[in-house]
Amino acid sequence: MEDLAKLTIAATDDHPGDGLRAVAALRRLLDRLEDLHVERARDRGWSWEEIAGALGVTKQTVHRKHGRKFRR
Amino acid sequence: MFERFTRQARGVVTNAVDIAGRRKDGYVRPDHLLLAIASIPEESQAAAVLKRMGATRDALAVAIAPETKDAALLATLGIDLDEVRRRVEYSFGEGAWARRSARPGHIPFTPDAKKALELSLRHALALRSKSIDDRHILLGVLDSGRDVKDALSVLGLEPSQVKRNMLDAMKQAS
Repeated sequence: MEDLAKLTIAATDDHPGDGLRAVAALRRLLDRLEDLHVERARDRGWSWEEIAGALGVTKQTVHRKHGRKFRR
Repeated sequence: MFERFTRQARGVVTNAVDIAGRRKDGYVRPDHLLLAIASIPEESQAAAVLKRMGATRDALAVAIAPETKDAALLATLGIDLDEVRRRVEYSFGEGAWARRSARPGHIPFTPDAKKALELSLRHALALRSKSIDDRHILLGVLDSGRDVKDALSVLGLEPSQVKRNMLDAMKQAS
């Protein structure tokens, strides 16, 4: 736990590189989770509009990011 | 720029793209280029230098595992990646985590990976070589920054050591 606290301080500390790399890892995690959830929503018949609404982005954004995977 | 690359050097670049694709890493990074050099199937002076230092294909494949790296980075934000994975598998079924739907289309190079290839050209010019081969790519990759430094440090190596050995091997060969 103490280690984690130390690491957390490191992430918010004065090394921009460390903080940026952590943000990049977070983005990879985010993309991965988004893929899974969008895929499931599409499988259950959600429209792009509904998905975009739930994600809080425009329909164009979600379609550009995920549309190609579902062209059947 | 690629017209100067030898057939083997082009093979390294295309293999790095394949490696990044297979690993679903999203981008082609300099450490993928490094792994591609270590994976050259034929005779290669660059691969031989890496092998002598313990940076074999298998060792590097483990050293650049992004999951391990990401888990450490996410821990600095208080996120337990193992726990996230457990929840994903619970919610989406077993194997869902690994079965990441691949984004179709081409895989972009990171700025550092582009830099590595540009530096390989510069090394070839500095060494008065008309073509860019596996050894020049290795030298470029070693100068490219953090990703390769991190991968090599897992194996207890420094980019500068590898670079010295590569340059020595080239001197002896000529």
